[in-house]
Amino acid sequence: MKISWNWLSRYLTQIPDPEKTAEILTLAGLEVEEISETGPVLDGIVVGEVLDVRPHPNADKLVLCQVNNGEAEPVQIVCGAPNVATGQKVPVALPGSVLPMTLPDGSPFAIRKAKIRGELSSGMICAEDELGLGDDHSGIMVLEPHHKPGTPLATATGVRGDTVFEIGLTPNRPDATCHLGVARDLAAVTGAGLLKPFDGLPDITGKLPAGTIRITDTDKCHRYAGILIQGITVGESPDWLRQLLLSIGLRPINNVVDITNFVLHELGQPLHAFDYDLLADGRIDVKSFPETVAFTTLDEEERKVPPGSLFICDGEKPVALAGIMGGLNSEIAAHTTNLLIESAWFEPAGIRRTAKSLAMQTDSSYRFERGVDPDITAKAALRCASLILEHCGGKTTGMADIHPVTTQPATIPLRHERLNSILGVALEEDKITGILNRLEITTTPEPQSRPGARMAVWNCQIPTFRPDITGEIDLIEEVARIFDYNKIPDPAHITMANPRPIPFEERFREQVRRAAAGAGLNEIYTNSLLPETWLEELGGKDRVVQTMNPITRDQSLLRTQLLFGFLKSAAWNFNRGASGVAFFEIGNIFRKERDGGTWIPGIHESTHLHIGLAGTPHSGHWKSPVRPYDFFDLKARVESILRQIGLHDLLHWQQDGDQLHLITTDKKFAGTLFMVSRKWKERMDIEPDACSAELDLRVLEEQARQRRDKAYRPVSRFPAFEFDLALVVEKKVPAGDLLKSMHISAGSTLRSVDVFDVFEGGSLKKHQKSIAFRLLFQDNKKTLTIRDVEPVIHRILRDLGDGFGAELRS
Amino acid sequence: MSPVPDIESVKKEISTAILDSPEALESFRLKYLSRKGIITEMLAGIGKAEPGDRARLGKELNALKKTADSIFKNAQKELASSLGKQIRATDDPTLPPPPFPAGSLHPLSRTLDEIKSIFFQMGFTVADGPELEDDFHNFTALNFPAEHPARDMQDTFFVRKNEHRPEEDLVLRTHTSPVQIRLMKQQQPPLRAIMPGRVYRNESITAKSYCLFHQVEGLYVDRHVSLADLKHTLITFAGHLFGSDLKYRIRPSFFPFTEPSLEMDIWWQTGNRSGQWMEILGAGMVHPNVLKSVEIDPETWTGYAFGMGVERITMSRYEIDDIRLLYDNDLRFLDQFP
Repeated sequence: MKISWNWLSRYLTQIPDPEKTAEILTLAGLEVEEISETGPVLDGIVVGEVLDVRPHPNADKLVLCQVNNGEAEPVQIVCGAPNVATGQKVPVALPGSVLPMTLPDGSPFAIRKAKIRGELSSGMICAEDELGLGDDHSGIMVLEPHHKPGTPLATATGVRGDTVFEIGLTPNRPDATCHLGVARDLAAVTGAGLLKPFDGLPDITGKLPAGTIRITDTDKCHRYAGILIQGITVGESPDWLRQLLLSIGLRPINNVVDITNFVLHELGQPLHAFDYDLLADGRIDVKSFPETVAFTTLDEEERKVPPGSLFICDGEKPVALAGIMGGLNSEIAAHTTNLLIESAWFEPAGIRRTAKSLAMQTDSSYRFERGVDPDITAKAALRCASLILEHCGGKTTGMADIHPVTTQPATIPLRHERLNSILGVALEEDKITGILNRLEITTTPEPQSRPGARMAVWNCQIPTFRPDITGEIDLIEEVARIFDYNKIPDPAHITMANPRPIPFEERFREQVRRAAAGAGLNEIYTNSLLPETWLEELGGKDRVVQTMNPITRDQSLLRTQLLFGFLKSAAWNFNRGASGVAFFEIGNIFRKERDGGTWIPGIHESTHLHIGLAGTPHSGHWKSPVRPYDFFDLKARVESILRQIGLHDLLHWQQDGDQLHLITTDKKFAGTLFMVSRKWKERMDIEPDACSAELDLRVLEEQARQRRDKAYRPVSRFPAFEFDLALVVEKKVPAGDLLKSMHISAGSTLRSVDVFDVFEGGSLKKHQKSIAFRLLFQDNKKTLTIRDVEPVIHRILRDLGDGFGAELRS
Repeated sequence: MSPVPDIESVKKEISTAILDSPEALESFRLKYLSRKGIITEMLAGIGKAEPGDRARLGKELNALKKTADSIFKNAQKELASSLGKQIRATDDPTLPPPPFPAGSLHPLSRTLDEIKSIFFQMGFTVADGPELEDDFHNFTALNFPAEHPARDMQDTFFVRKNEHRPEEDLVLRTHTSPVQIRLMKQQQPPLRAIMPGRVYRNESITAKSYCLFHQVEGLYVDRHVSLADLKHTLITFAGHLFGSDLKYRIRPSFFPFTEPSLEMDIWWQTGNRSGQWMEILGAGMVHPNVLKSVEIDPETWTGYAFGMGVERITMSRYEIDDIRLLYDNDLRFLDQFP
């Protein structure tokens, strides 16, 4: 919303400079987001008197003028205008001034003392357009003869530059949608007097004939004031009015329309002027229709207005879309002589609905939607009428103020003690009532009802232009914002609520994040919303949570896994020349669930950890050959993370076709590792191999909760005994099963087993493979010898033979 | 018995011997200095010389032995150090080592981390809630009026919408404030927690906007909590995050769930935003209606709440001018945040 500083100053006995004004407004809650200078800046331009005009000795089209600028001595100015003449009062740009226009090369038009064709010129006599005061370039601007030489032109003409504030208005402040409302806040802070333009306006005694204005839908229109003015002349608005409208970005149209616009931005009350002679039967009815109505608004658009929308109708037809825009059929034209001024109160929700369904927002609908003061209806109509009489002529012949629903000002008690306690201040009574009263909130102290109550309670009457103030807390805010939040002192002492421990899941999640970065992975953040076209791949309609109204189809489905974000990020990097990626992400995934639900019934929402590798770690190195990331690089990183978070011995691996699952001791599914399928790689446009691990952090966290700090295991003082075993088994036998079996058979002296070779071909049969294990035996109480280990080896071999058909490789 | 070589020729031999390898050195030692070496043999042969020559011969041979000894030792020393100097092509410590991945945390994680640690220091704990939220927690309990614009289909992602029973609506949460409600329903005051998380806005993706971002919400409910306490907490926080010499201002604002409401701006002095006020957070005293909605008596308990955008703070700190950079996950970007 644009607010002009010049305009504001009309309603205040005094106003700080524009910069200070902006600061005050911002700190009072009307945030000035942008400050801009508009209109002509007439610094250094004064009234001059032409004392003498002589021909230029070296140029036919130029003359030499002696000009009195109010200085002791007249100066010579060279002028080329055909209309310059002795005795004229003219605008003179003094040397050093800058005209509000640019030269053809874009540089500023700076005035200097210079010789023109050999004759000295100390300034420039200006035309209207050169000062930004109009379009006229036919000759110099000639001023009224009574101006004194040397008077600044801004003072002489009353035209000055302006500062315009762009205010980011919060939705709770309908009162501040106009200059008077903004001025009220400013006055409340500075203590300046507020000058209300409708104060002292005479009432209109004539009445409109009964039945001229009728409100059929009284629930949608609480009040309607109309004033009939006859015999006006439509023409151009005065300069000051045009300037003010231009400064806030409104195009002047004609004096009648300009005045209604002016009052809207002055008082916040939208007005409409009908050509009275175009109203059938000369009457108004405010009503809605049960059907869609085709209606052509002022902007010459035919609109299909939905049923229930409120219209202003004449004796036959709709003539305005209530609170939004007038109709083309009753528009003010150059020949209009009789006017009906409308000032009304329309119910906000109805206006919002209609405006929204038609995708229209006008200065009028913007205000009605927020709530216009139901008490200003008639005042605004009177203010408008008085300006029309002044600038358009005519006379008022009658007024009607139909007011079927009245709004009583609310009364809210405010406790002094509560105010100080909420704000943490010790404000005096006078300070509080002073602020409230300047905001036109009256404060009546309540008689002390409770014996011993020391602090005051006020009954505050809330003006109708502040529908946002509905409770004591709102009054407290009013006092605080005018007082200035920045002036609230620091608390005398700080209390800290007995701090609660940081929850386990928070600490666990951060531990995982650090472990993943520690495993050499780059953390990524990816979009939770995925394109509509992936529905089937994500799990289909029964599984995938869909948004109903995405702004684009690319943000339609909630991710069911983090995999897709990884693949998209990998593709992004491969398309930009990366050789490989090693990423992790921690984020939430969503799934529909028939029974149960994490937070919301029917919705599974869990936090996952995803680890993804693709491509090669580097594109070539002298010491480390180029080798693509493979499944075991992935498994190594997952194990590294599990070890870092202390979960490696609480989980075990389980093979399932091409996938490897991570299973908890209580058989819960904690995650899956796999190579990304060719289908997915093609879909995502990725060429290199990619592998993916997705772990459910909620499951891991449950496991981690059960983990207790254990007493350390003593480190054996006795040397270990190493024994190598090369076994031949069928290819389909998983190494993991052999390892598990060895541990079971061996018992506690088998400290660890490594696989140091895996072999096929050679002397082996086609369906066979050989795996070489290195077993490390160690005892805490003695040095193990072959005599101790031999029976264990036999046991291991027997069990492996029985269980897996494993044989020693010869 | 081999003829005894004369001293002069041996002297010449040993002084011109080339001792450039361990093998040459060893054969030199064997030939001249070992127990069966020439000089030892010559010394042994002194007895066979004329008695008058013995003394001179002994002196000369001893001098010869000394010379051979010192030649040997010098050569040995030289060879030992020159052996170290014999280098291979890869004996070049300036060669780059094999890549060793360092891993990195996303800039949003880093900012979030700092924010959290400041509030942990101030005695806040942390609370969590879902990203897919119901109407009650996201709007109703937070004092959003029924006709509030956020409740229509404009800016909010709806997952379920029921015109007749809006309490059944499901949305992607538009802010982290619903976690306040969950926390207050779950626990009795005093409460002091921050609530970080992902929130959603139904906007198209541009340099300035994304369909999601991250917020940190804060809540403190206790007896006698005042606006002065809130202000103090916010200034302390901003001082820790941006430096204690920061210039700030606090101005009134509006949120349905706080009253009085405020926003905090800080004066930005670096980078492309230099010389501007920048809004960093919104805050206020918890609205009595919100406390009532979770059955906390607003006459006994008061509280404050605040919320800030992690993207906004991250982007200004690192002078990131396009929000999409945070979600493209370009390695050339990520690698700058080790």
